[in-house]
Amino acid sequence: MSGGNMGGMSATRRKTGDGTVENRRRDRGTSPFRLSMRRLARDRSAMVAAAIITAFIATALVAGSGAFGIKAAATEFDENSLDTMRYLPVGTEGHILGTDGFGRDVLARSIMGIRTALYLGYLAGLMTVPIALLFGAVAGWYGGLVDDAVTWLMSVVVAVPGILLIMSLIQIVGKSFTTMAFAFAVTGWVGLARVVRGAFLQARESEYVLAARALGAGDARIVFRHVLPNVFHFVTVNFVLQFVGVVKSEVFLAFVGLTLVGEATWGSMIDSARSEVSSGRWQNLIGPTLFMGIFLMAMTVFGDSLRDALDPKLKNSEEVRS
Amino acid sequence: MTGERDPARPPGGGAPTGAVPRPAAPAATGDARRPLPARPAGLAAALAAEAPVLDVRNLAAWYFTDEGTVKAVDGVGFKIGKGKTLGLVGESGCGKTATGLAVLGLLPPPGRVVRGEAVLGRRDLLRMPEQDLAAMRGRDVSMIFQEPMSALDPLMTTGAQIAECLEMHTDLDRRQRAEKAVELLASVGVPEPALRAKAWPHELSGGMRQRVVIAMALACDPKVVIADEPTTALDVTVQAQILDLIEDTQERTGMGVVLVTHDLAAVAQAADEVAVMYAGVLVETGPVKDVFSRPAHPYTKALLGSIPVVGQADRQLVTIPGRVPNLARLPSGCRFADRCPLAEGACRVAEPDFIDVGAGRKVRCILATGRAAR
Amino acid sequence: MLHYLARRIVSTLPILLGVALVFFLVFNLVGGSERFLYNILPPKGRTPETINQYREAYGLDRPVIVQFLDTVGDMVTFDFGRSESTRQKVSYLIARYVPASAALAVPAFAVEIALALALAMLCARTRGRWPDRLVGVLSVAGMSLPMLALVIIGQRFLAFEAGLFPISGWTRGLGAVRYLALPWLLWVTVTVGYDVRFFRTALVEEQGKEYVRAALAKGMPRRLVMRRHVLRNALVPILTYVVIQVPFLLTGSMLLERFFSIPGIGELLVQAILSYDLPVMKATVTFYTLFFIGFSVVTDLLYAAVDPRVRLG
Ligand SMILES: Nc1ncnc2c1ncn2[C@@H]1O[C@H](COP(=O)(O)OP(=O)(O)OP(=O)(O)O)[C@@H](O)[C@H]1O
Ligand code: SF4
Ligand SMILES: [Mg+2]
Repeated sequence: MSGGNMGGMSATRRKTGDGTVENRRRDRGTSPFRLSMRRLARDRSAMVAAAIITAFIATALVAGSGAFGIKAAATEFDENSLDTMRYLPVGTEGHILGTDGFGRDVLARSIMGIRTALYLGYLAGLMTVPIALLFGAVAGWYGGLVDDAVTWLMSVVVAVPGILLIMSLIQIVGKSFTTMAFAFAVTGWVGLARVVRGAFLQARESEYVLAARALGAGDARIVFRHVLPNVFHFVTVNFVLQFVGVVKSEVFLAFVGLTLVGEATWGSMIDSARSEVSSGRWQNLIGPTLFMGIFLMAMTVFGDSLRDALDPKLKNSEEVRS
Repeated sequence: MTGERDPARPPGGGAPTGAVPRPAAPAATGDARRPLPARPAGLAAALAAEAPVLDVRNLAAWYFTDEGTVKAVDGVGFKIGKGKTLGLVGESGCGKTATGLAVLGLLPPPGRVVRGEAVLGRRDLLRMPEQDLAAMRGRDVSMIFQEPMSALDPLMTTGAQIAECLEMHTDLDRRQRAEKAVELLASVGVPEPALRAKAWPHELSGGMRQRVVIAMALACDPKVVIADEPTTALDVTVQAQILDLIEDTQERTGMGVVLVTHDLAAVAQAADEVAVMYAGVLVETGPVKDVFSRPAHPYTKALLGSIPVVGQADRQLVTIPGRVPNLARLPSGCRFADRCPLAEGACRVAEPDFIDVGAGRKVRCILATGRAAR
Repeated sequence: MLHYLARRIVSTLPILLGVALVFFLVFNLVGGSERFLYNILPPKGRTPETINQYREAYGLDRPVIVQFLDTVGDMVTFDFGRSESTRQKVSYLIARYVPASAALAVPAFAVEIALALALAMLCARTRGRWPDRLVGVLSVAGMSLPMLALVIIGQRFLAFEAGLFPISGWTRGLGAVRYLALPWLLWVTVTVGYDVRFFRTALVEEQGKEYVRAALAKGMPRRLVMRRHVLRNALVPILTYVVIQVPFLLTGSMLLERFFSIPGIGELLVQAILSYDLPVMKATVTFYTLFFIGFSVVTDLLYAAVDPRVRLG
């Protein structure tokens, strides 16, 4: 569903595997991370996707700085002629994707929509990761009552359908991108936290941690040197998956009237297209759908490749022995 | 049963049904082969005994991975006579399992057979439509898998899994198949077979599971079975029982066996011929007694360097200094050169040929075969 | 089995308590109650006196802990009072809106899963070849497009232009199928991509297992091995996935119900949230939570049915 499988996907994926975090080095000498990056660089579709993502980000940054008048074309309209509908169809000269009812350029608005999507997705991820790491780490590392409490919290959060919490929070706290991102974070941290918890549980019992302890290494050092690197790839993959989920959810929120009015977001554009297509006006549908489709496809493909590169065991699902 | 083999075993004893005249001249490559004309009795008998049930020639099976082409099997050939056992030995990762899987057409992607033939009866298993090959698997050629823990479907009772083979190749109805499955379990030495047939794999011990796997592979009296380390996971007493079991079946049905193993003592005990594999190729083949008493290849010598005594706890291959070369980046010249105590400059120039040195033996080493032969 | 069920129900109590806590935090503490009072009063009536009066009437002036226990009581007895906007009893509203939701979601979800399984099996069988790749590309495309855009396009072309379906509407009884057909179709189209990708991974993972090779070595045709061994073993991760998907059914229901004017519980919920209809909000969220918990219990029973290694209790 459009809410997507943020977190859920990776949690399940672990279940299908053998349930252990792979920390075996596949080749002596080169670090696993280096090997992964080398694999990623050799993956052609990943590189194409990365190029598309980079292009989108660059465009958003350039447009956001006010260059080329994109920002202006997306937001400014003539207040004196508010009542005259100023739709221009797709393909109009000077407005390739047409203009909306306020005479604002749809292409420019779609480009500004990238900014919103990036901001939302990035912020949500930025909030989710610390929450997940904190809860997962504390639960796995200390165990006992702390673990029980966190596990309980996780089952509670999972039991409440996330989208309801998101909608309620936005409605109650007030519409803002920060609230939206926070709502996504509050509902989307469990999948990652479970993986982190597992890694810490395993690490606590593993021999190298015991050995490091015996040698007098402090907890912090052990965590940063030995445990966090093992969850790094789950964090990355989760980030990408959540990003896609958040961007899609924004459209849904716009549909139920919970996005920011007046901002150039893909959701609000598509939502206004809902009433416009019946009079043959497609521009607000075509622009954002195209942008979002290409962007999210690139993200998904990149996420897949990243996962395969970081955890090749999952790719062919046949262990490559060496 | 464990001890010496009976050289006067009846040649066709309990031959599987539908046996076709087998080619007597395996070296020939053409397809239009006819049974050879009658020969003087003694010679004919000798030749018949030599006629291979499975003839693998120049087999190459590679894994096309993202990291490069892993040449797991790179030109392997061997023959197995009726009722005979070929021991296939070599270090871990040298391509033994890949050889077996390739013969059965079961290489998992990204693995593929790139060349070679595996002739069984008169047909090449490697160039057969999947459907025909499926019909031959289990009935003509089958495989005992390396890991008894994972070779059984955890969601199906053992009896049902054995019965599946019968379902494919016989006309028995469901009840008869279930009965036969119990019989098969009994024949591989499973106590209380009727009870065990209804058990789930996770309820059985490792030894029991391995017996179930064997019963599954032998259910339809295959002409050849590839036994991939059938005893590695088991303790020594069970190991011996399992080998006996396979030998018993061979004597009953004339089945040919490829015994893949790390266990040289098992080869000495159970095999007629031995093939020593190194990094995707065979380096030495011949009758077990000859090869073991007078190994010709430096690798074989190294393996036999401290052949352990039967019954001793550690019967695994000795470790040889150095590592097996990466099968995706093989060195030019002899694959063993980096670890070979006798290596010299010429060894690294070109890969030595696999040369017949007489008495049914072949060796891949320029020293053993003489520079002249190259 | 009964013993197991009893234990399982007991074990969900702390979770329900937690859910009550979450509601309470969100609705009553995070500025919820004040906003609630503000919203239920007409603009002219928002004087401090009337607000105080209503605060008392709704018990919002009582100690926090009492209010919390009250919320728990509401949830346990499933008595949430009357809707703020329609003054109807909330339990009555829920009962009236559930059938349409079920009529939309149950068949659509069933078809979605079945179709996804079939496609995933095709992919697993033709792994790396064109049918696999085609399905893979289509899934990614389907996942990347906004559901709302697809729904708009679907309605426009299939209902409006081609006239294959009514544009929107509802009727009671079997005639509803007419109105449900297009939402069903769109639902399946939009969701199947995610599922295919996951199911394919699960199947391919099972396919690589040794017992699959062993089954093939017995001479079984690949199709049969797929059905008898691979699929059954993959069912465990697939079931887990399906349970995780269930809360997301909600997003789909809300969108489609609202879009096609289907009087379902999703639509009820959206309206309640938008109008701060707190009793209805609480009731619908409780309903979905209970539904989800119930679904996971059923799944556990299914696990046990599929896998002999799983023991209930
Ligand atoms: N699915 C695969 N993909 C890529 N390479 C593989 C795959 N399976 C095996 N290999 C490689 O092929 C080579 C041969 O493997 P194989 O399993 O045949 O070895 P083996 O001789 O049976 O070893 P062992 O004694 O450990 O069973 C190994 O180097 C292994 O790394
Ligand atoms: S060819 Fe040379 S390197 Fe290879 S085994 Fe013989 S002596 Fe050793
Ligand atoms: Mg092997």
